[in-house]
Amino acid sequence: MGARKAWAHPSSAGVGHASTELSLSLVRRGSITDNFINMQDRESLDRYFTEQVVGEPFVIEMGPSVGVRREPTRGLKLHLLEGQVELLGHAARGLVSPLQGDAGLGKPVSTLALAKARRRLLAGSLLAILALWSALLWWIFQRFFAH
Amino acid sequence: MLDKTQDTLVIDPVKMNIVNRIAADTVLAGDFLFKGGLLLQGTLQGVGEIAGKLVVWHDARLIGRFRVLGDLYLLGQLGEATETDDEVDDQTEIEVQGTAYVASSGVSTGTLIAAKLRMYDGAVLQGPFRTLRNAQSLPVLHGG
Repeated sequence: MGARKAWAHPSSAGVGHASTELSLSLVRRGSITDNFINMQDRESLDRYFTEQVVGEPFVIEMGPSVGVRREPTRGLKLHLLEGQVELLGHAARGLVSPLQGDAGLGKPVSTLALAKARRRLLAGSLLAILALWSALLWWIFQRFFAH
Repeated sequence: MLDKTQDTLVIDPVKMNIVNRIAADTVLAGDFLFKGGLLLQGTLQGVGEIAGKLVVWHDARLIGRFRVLGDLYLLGQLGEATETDDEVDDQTEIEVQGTAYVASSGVSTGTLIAAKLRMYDGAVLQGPFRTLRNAQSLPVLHGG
């Protein structure tokens, strides 16, 4: 993530918001000749105009991770459990594609909690692989060599 | 560099289908129907529906009666500015079918109705908040 650096959304130029930082977009714009699009292809046309008018992906800071208040629609325990599952989902996606897993797409996540969840997930996966490998070795030994 | 003690949110306009934008210092008033999400950086006033996610940027303002069919990310203001802290803007009522995320810079003086609410320290809910009940969970009576 070292390649990332802060930039300002063009529309917010000159307006300083201490609480907001926008990261470098994930896709770099090329020259005008690189932007050749098929006028018949509505999907690529929509994508082009969305990128040009609304902008490219950016990161927003929502506020301090501690002291977030939630209004659950179901029981509080279930709601918190849902949050944990959500966080693990983000962490798992981050293992495959770290750039997008940096923060939740459309769902705010704590970068600190995300890093912890990612470490736990990695350790858990390694333990599971080790256990499976041991079980496989034991089975092979029992099947072919134990008499 | 992002602050690790803060919750961060990625906004990807293409993936999140945020295809509409009202630029900073733009003021629109009237009846609206937005197909897809909206990035609001100016002022939007009136009545309408946003068929997607709504991002209310810093210094942006949403006034009136709107229904948001996705999630709401509030970094700016909902409702008119009031003179006192306990005043409520009765003309503003925003119904959010998804989750309303109110950032530490977000202020709401109107009525906010949402299925779920996530609010950060520093956010101001000056107006009331109501939980939106799922329409499907309501009992339906069938005539014999």
